[in-house]
Amino acid sequence: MTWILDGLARIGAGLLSLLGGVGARALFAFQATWRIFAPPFFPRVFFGQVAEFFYFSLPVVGLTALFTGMVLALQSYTGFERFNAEAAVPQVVALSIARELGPVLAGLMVSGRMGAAMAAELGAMRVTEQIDALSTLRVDPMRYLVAPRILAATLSLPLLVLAADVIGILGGYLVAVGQLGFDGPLFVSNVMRFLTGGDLSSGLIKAAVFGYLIAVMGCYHGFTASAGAEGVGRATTSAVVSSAIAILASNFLLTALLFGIV
Amino acid sequence: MMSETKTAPDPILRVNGLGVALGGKAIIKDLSFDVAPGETLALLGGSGTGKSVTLKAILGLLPSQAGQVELGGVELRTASGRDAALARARVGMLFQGAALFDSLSVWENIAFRLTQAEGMERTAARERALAMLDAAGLERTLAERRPADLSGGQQKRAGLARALAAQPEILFFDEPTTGLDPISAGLIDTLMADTVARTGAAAVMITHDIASVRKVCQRVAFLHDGTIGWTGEVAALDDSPFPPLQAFLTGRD
Repeated sequence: MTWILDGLARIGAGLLSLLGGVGARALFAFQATWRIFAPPFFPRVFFGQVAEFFYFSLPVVGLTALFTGMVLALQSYTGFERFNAEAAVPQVVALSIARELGPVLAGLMVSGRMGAAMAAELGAMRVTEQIDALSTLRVDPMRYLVAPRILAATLSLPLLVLAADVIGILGGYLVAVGQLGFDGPLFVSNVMRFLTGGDLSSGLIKAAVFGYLIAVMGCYHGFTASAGAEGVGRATTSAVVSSAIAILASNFLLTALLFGIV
Repeated sequence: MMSETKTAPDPILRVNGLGVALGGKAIIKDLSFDVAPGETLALLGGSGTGKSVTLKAILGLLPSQAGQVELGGVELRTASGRDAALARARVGMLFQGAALFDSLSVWENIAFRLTQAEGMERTAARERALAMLDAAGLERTLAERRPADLSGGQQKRAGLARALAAQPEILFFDEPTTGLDPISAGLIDTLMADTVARTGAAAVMITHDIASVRKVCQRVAFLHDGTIGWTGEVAALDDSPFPPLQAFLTGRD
């Protein structure tokens, strides 16, 4: 009997800890988000973060999208060939990239790059008392460090995904035309005909949500990093893992919501 | 004929019965002291006695559970957020590791509060920062460098220049000589003593460096078991009858 109660107590404690963690992140997100809209604003920090998010992330996201588009063209061709449906390759490439693979892969790549960077930078600032120093200099750390990062990520990731969509479809085009013998103008016209504004905008909405989640997780784990190099390392790992999980979970919910499946 | 009596200035900082607990454990219990303008108080104590915790609780960086902290006549624990922030604007702080912002140049660090919190124009703020560099005994050629390019002693002096830039009425020095070689530590001591004498600000120095205390401070409050175990003039330090302080002074604690 005791072992059953012990087991239940452990499950309960784990559940409470999980809910506490979710609550702490939600509270942090709320506190940071309202500061986006309340002055003072720090435009230099914001534009610096936009450069980090968009400009410096473009090569890695672009390469990911390019190869994904190329693989998608190859895979869909080999699959569709069995049903004599090879002509659907342009549509499949365009729809998959715009609706799912563009935002999800860009989000995961950026969470690895920027989520980790934010957690490491803010974590290092926490353990070297730079965040405390901000408070003593009459600057709210949430307003100066977190709010601009969240805004920059939320606005930059859709731009990155837009670029990833174009590059990914270009990858599919290169393989389809260069290797599989598709007609170039026909590929482009098929893409243009089947890809709707709704497909593109759903991907961009997802990207904005993913950007927000990446920044919240990166900043939260950096902000709450415990002392020492080990604490910063743990914060960085936690930021990447939790933002990846948040991206994948929210992707399911957003897909259901945007395409009215549920 | 009336005799002229010299009255001591009112304390700018009064701490009364401060209590701080971290993770359910009481670190500071019933701690009281005060500091007057032009005076430097050493908050002395061994490692883990709660010196930095006390300082962070006063600055609002850690929550406190009991007592009063009065800064410039404002009771910080009960004041509105705005009033407490305004009172804390009188404070300048030198952190143990200087805590300079890595991504900014030295002058931007020193002028940070002026440009980011007080809306001073960058050119004017830079001029003030350069004057602060002079006051801290640093060459102006260091102004454009990043903190990582400075030595430990230079970083501490730049941190002091940053603390002084907004002309605070009370300064907090957290372990200012820790990690410095004896020559750099001596320079920092001289700089802190000169700064207090020149500006007339009050200062609280958190340290376990006795040599630094003797050089810079007038009064000592010795932290023991979460409260002030002994307080008195620096000159009376060696004659204190408090055994834990004597153990500390002779290196037995």
